[in-house]
Amino acid sequence: MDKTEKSSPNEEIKKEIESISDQLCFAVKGEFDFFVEIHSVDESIQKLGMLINFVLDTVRRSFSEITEKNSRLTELDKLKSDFLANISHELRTPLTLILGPLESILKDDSLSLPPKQQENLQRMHRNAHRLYVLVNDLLDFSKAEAGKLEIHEELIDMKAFIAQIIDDAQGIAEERKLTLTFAAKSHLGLLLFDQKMIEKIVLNLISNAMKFTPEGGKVDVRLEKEDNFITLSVADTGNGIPEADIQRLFERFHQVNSSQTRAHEGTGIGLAIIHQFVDLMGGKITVESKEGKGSTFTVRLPAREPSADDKVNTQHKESKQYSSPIKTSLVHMGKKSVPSDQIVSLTNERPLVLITDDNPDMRAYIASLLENSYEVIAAENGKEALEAVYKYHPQVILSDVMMPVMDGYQLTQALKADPQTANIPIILITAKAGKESIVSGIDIGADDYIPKPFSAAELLARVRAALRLFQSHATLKNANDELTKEIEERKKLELANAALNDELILAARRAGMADISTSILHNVGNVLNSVSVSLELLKESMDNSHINKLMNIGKLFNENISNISSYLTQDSKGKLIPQYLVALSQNVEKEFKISGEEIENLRNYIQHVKEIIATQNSLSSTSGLKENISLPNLIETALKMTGSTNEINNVIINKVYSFDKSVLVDKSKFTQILVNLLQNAKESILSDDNNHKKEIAISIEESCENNQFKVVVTDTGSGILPENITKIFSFGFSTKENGHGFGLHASALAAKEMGGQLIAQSQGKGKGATFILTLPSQNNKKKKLNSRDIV
Amino acid sequence: MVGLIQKLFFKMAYELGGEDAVISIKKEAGVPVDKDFQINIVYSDEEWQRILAAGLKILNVTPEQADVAYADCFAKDALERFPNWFQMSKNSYEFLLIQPTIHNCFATAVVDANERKDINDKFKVDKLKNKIITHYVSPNKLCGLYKALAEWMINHYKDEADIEEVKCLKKGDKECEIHIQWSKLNGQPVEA
Ligand code: HEM
Repeated sequence: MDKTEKSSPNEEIKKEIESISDQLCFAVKGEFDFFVEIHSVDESIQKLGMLINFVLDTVRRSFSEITEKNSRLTELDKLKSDFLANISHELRTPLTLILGPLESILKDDSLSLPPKQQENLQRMHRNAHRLYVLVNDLLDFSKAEAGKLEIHEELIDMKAFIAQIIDDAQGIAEERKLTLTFAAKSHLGLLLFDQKMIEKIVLNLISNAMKFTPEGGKVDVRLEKEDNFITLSVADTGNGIPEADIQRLFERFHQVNSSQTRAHEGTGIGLAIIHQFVDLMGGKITVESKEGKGSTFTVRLPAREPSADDKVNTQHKESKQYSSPIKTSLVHMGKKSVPSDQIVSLTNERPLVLITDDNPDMRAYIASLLENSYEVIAAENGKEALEAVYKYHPQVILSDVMMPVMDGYQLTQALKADPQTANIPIILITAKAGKESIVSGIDIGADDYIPKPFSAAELLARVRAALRLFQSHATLKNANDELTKEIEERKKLELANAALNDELILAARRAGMADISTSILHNVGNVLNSVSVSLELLKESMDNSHINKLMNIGKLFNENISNISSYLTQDSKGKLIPQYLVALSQNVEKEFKISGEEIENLRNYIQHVKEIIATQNSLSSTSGLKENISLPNLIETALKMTGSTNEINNVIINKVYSFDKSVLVDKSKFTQILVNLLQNAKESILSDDNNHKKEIAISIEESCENNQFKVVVTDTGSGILPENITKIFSFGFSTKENGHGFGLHASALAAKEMGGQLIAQSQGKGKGATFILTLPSQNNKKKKLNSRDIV
Repeated sequence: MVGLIQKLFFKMAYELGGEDAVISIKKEAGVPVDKDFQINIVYSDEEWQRILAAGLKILNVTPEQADVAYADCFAKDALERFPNWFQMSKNSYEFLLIQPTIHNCFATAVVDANERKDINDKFKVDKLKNKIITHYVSPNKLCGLYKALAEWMINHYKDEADIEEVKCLKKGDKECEIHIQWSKLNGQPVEA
């Protein structure tokens, strides 16, 4: 920009924008190797320029990256094509050397080979030939890629030539239950074409059509000539091609990947080659397809009639010479060497193997390897195989991976997804020997993998291994079924036991409750008795009250009020009054003390009744609420509840509390046990009339075993017979006349629930008894009850 | 050094010490008094180092004070000049991740490939979960400015993070290695 020129800022910006735009025009060439130069002092323009440069730089870098990658790819592609061409070329020689001798053996009638050998040789020949065709395809393809493919024109009667191919294919169409028709305009005349290319185009199109058309379908081939073009169309009523695949159909190596249309064992170059051929001949190939309805491939080629200069091959009429290779090329896809209807007469004696392969020769070959030791059935694709599995229940499945309709992976998935078939071992056989395909096969659940080529011994060994797998599965399954049955039965039994157990626990608890209620009522009665005694004493003390005496003295005072001092000093009665008052007050004090004590007793009795009721309430709940409690206090409460504080009914209570720490226990359960034990002890002592020593000894001891304490209740009562000592805690067992046999049972149960135990000891009848309650002194885990614990 | 840096440095000097300060710095640094710096032109690193040293002397500030003051002035200008880069990033973590690319953007105006590479290669950021590790190599040794700017961004987005420089050019390391670990992003605590 000319700096001397004076222009307005707007104009300057406009000029700058123009300059930027002009510079950007370079981009239309697809070249970005430039920068936008900014001369403006306007910062917005500078910012814009900087960002444009950034975008340009990014594009430039991406471009160079792509170009670099592209050239590397092209290089690789060329290497690959060269490699293909070389390898195909190399393969042709050994193949020719296989095909030649084979053909002469087969043609030599003098050899009179056994039928089995003959069949094997024919199979070898067919497949070697097929390999030859495939190798030729590859060679053509690599030639085309390298631009080395040349057209060799000859004069052909197109109509007769194609009719011959169709004729040859009729047998196969019939086998596959397809209608194959050919229609052509009556006369097309002799035209110049590369016969090999035409042959390949027709062959490829009709074999594809037949492959993808299900039984009962139609394949119609038409040939027309219009102006200077011939139009060949092959229409089928097959599965059709998904829309997304149509675009890439003629790309090399592209195979339609839908399970319905998946190519057989093709190289994926068939359509790409014919596309190349058609291109080379200046024609066009198109396809119309509707999924589920069918496809029509149309080839339009310029038809050239021979001029006088054209050197032409006139052998066209002998089209028969082409029929042989055509037949061999087609035959592999149609013949069912092991048809599925062969399987109806299966015996159950030998293991059944299902072979699934779309190649009839492969089916037949594998079948021939297995038929000595196994029953063999065969299917052409995964779908057929699946049907056969449900119908015939094979023990081993051998399946190819690449198959039309349903491939080996899909078959595996379907089988493994159904528990009914998941145990049948499936061995996948494939030409794809890469690790990836093995991994994907195993991933979806295949049991084994055999890469092609495989040896007969290897295949047999793997089938044997798979069979063993199946058998061990079956044995396991049987054992498992039996176990499951047993477990279920046990479960039922356990459920019944558990229900019974629950009932017993409940009954025991209720029984315990009943027992304790009896004892409580009994104690409440005792307490009430004591209350009456106390009240009686109080009343008595009230009756003999010194108040009357005081009142009398009051009266005497009143009478002598005028001379009170002489009365108290000189009167014989009056002189006694001060002494009398001292004595009286002492007596009143005594009486008050007694009344006070009785009132205190009454308060205690009422408190006891309250506690008994509270205990009753707490015992009716089963919650194991633990409280920090002083054991001696709790024992005192229990003693009061049983009405045996220190000495009652002449029973001496001896207490030794060598362990008097507070412990965390379930108060209600603990009380329940103690009340029960004390009640029993008392009853036992009182029931024995001959008993002179009436004593209950209660002690609390710290047990040397980890964190436990013991409450020992020993009585001098009737004792326990040795034969009863083990039964004493049993549900319903009682030695008492009116006992229900629940009390000790419930106590033992409660002790267990508290994480401890209750045991009984006795030297025998009349020798008294000792009950030892051992409980954890800390917050131990609650013991889980089971039926064995309480019985 | 791309002119935006010098331009804004003089802007800051002007704000702190007026026209006199600007002139004194230029004189002290041996820069023609009438020289203006353009945001899209690359000037010598060596010249910039003289300007910075002169600035510290004339303005009588420590390098640390200068970093903070300059970061504030610089970031405010960037926020106004390139608002989209701030909006594109939800938080300071995202912003600091694109920081090297933003710098490369300034480098693309430089025609000379080597010169461009020098600018491009100053920053490299390793992306970790709620953390970045920045590797910085430059003759200008401006890691203090990096930390001040990073702090400014963290505050701007109201995030929380710890900044730690584990290696430093000034201490003789081959590069500055700055670890930024976020504890809060978009108002939410994040795991380390
Ligand atoms: C929109 C935001 C930003 C813009 C436009 C910007 C722009 C620039 C430019 C143009 C340079 C000079 C580059 C050169 O010549 O090498 C630069 C340098 C620098 N920037 Fe930024 N920057 C931004 C954000 C940040 C942030 C967030 C940080 C740090 C967290 C940062 C740290 C630095 C440092 C340390 C230098 C000095 C580099 C050197 O020369 O050694 N920048 N910046």
